[in-house]
Amino acid sequence: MKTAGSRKARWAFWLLLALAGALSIASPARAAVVVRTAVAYRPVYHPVARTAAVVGTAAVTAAVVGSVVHSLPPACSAVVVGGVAYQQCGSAWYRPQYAGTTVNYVVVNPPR
Amino acid sequence: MTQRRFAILLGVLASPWGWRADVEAKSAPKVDPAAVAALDKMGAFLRAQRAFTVAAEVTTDDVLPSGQKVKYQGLAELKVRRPDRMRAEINGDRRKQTMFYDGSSFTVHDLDTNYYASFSAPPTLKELAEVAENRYGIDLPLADLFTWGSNQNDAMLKSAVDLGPSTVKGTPCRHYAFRQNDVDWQVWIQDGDAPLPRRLVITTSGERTAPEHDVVMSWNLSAEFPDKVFAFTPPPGSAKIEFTPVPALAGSPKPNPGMTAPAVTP
Repeated sequence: MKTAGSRKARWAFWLLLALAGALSIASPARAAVVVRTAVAYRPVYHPVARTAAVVGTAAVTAAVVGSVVHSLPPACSAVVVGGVAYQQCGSAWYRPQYAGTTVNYVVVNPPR
Repeated sequence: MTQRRFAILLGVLASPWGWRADVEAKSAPKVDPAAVAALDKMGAFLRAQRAFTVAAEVTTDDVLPSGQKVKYQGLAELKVRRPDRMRAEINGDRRKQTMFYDGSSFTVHDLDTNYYASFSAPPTLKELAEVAENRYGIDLPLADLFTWGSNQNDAMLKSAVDLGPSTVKGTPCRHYAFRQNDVDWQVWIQDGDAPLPRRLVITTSGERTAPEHDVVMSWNLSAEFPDKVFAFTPPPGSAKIEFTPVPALAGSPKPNPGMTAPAVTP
């Protein structure tokens, strides 16, 4: 009786694991949707460059140097150091840049 | 021909109730030369315009993380003086920007952040469209206007159909539908001796949700612009930043070594 019960439990465990695995394969992370705005022939096409590098908003992401965010946390001030524009948000520093026509922000080491 | 017959036979076997529609669809001409000719005529007419303003009402689909398809809208006004001047003003839900091309440099100024960036640009609009797209990942607004009707584009057409008369904002037009590898698109071309595109709908057929980009255009072909219209003067409080180059692809330039970013340590 005891062995049959534990065998059943083991079966259920593996079944659940397999299901979870199948589900995770069936629903991969949603890729960015690309909407074409021109019909002209494009010899190279690189939607990844515009979206994939962006990890989220600064408010929820730890300021890892080199990471790129779409928007800044609250209460930042624009600072220019050595001719380069930065945003200082508390102890975190961001360098704005254009990715295509989108302004995003790279987390950088404090420039001063 | 044998392959097509075999395909029809398969269709008949698979769906006996739909055989007639299947045969009709397969026997219809795929690329109507008259539709392609209308496109070429429109392209030639556009290329012949020296200076013009086009005001566009733009609606672009996006898909929320939940999977729901939504529409963002905006207005774009383009001032063009061939061969080497352009100014675009974009006032949309997601961006408010002005772009300037003065024949030697291209600038985009974002009004929300007041940041601008420039790159040194090639001497014609057509080359500018290529450099902006391939090197900087920038789609010029209404980029098709500068490339339309060239033979290279005609060769991409897998289907071209004349859908007959239509009206855009009260103006009589003719409605055409085209298919390429990754996009389906429709254009409404104005009747008469000024064959202008009055509406353009691009469907990204490769995406599961088939998002669309819809542009309704109003034209002024008798515009005259002084040079200063196309010159960028940094507004008060604005700051210059850099473009991050598109990641290196085979044959494309390396990332800009002149970027003034401070050294980054991991």
